[in-house]
Amino acid sequence: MTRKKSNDHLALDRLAASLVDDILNMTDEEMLAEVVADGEDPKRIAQETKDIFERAITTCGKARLAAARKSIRSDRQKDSRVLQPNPNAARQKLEKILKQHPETLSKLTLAARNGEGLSDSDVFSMLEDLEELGVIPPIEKQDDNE
Amino acid sequence: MAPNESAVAPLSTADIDAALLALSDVGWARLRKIACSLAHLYPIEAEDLLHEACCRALDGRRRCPSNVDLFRFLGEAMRSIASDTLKAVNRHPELHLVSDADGEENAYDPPDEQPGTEETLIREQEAARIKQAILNLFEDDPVANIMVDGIMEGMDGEELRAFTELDKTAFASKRKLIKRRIEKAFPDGWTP
Repeated sequence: MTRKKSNDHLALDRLAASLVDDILNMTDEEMLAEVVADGEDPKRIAQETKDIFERAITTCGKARLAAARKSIRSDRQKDSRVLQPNPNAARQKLEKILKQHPETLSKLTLAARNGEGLSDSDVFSMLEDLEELGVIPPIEKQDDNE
Repeated sequence: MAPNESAVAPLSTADIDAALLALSDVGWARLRKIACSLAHLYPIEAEDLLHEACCRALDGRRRCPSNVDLFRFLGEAMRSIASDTLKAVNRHPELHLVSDADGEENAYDPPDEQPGTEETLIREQEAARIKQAILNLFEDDPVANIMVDGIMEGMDGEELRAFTELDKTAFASKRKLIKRRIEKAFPDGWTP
């Protein structure tokens, strides 16, 4: 939610911009002289600031790693959803079901009863039909790949 | 990003990384100086400010157009982050235990997600307090006081110099005095 800044807030922002400008416009010599005048060691100040930057690199690296892990997890979940069932497993499953449900078997054509001439697509279709008829529980496609 | 910067390709993270790692001691000192200077005006520590600005530059949340000086880019990033902290003052209040009607049991009173009128008022009061504290630093120096007031009103450069009726040397000297006095007044940064 964006809120309008108060006049005092804007006033501080302008002063801040002016101070930043002054620092940016200082020569290297002026900058060094000011650091020394503050009683600080330029080398130590530089190292401390560099350390902050290196911590930022680490922070960003960790964030990128976490994002990559999340992305991999997400991709894995997506992949598992689009896995195609294994045709051989489906054929074995159909055969097993038909043995368990002889009344269903009797309703099939001779070719189908013998499992002859059935394409993979026919097998999947029959399993889906049996599922719809309530003969078998919903097909777990992932299980078919195991 | 300014409209005229939109067509310029931004520096890549690797470019920024390389440019910063190649900085001289004075370069690092300059960045630190900017962070400290902003910490005198806003409720944030210089180290946090610098860290956050570097993170935003490195993770791409803020992109540096290749025609913009890296110091200016990071300086503006820090200024923007610092200003936002004033907006966010009291945005994350602590949970408080509150008593129910019979006064026997306690429950947590969660803060509102959005700043309400009261919070906005607190924030505005904080900005007013900081502004006044800065102006008070120059009570003994009318020219510096007018100059700071002018800067806060949006004046700069020649307009501001003419307003103060100072020659260029005296004007530059007064600007330095203002910066130094603010730094000395809040050596550990602004503390609400």
